[in-house]
Amino acid sequence: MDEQKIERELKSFFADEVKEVEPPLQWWANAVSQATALVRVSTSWEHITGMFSKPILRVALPVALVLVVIGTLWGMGYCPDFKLTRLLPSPQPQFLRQLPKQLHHL
Amino acid sequence: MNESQEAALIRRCQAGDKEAFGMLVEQYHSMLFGTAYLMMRDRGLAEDAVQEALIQIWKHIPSFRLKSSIKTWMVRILINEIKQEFRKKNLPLVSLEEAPDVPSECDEAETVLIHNEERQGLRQAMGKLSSEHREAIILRYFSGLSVPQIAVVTGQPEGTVKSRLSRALERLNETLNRDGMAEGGSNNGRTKN
Repeated sequence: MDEQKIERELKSFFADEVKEVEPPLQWWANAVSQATALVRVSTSWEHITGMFSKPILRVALPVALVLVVIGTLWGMGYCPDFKLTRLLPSPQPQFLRQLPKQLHHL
Repeated sequence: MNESQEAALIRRCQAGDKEAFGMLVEQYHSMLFGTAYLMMRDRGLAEDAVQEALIQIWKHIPSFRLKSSIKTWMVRILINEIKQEFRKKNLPLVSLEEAPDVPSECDEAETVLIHNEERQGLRQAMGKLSSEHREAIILRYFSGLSVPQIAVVTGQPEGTVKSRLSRALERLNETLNRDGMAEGGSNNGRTKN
């Protein structure tokens, strides 16, 4: 049997085999509605980048980002001056005040 | 449906249009189910695999690039699902000769007998092929994919696909000739009656 004849035979054989077991159209309608009823959870890059292209996020995100950066810089500049030198009392003066008493005991 | 109509349908699917998805699936449903059935040889398993594939297709269609072929992309998802089903259920790859015969719709008894004999011969010959060869043959002659498309679907180089196809056809030819189905298969049926 030549190759072309086998190819023809195969095509008709496969078509016959499938034709007799193919599910009805109603099955396809159900299968499609079940597939599309699922919550679309896409982790694809296009989906993620697409989400950030929404108008509200296009403004809100940069503003939030700028505020976070400013806040962080301000906080970093504020803490060493205020918290460490003014809020927390230095232990040195009290230690020096108690030192003569301790020396007297000795 | 031409290419631009199909592209429009895909864009609608990407925007979440369920009706468009139904129309897109309708274009390929026979091919998708047939591919699954011919590989799994079980209607229930094939339906499960197709159902899972449809879920994956719908889920990932927003990331589909319009430059590539939707048919190849859908078949690739389906083939992955079929392989997963086999792994999940720990099923052996069923050979076609072991699969139950499906009753024919032909009317005349003699025609039915000849037809069944020919089909049985082909089924046996297909059953003797390795799973890779059978996959290549099904994708080429049933799903209608080209060699480069089969290479994309199976993740094999084009050269491998070509050699698998030619080897598979060679083996089929050998088996059919040896079993006398190629030339005189149908005549045998007639002389018996």
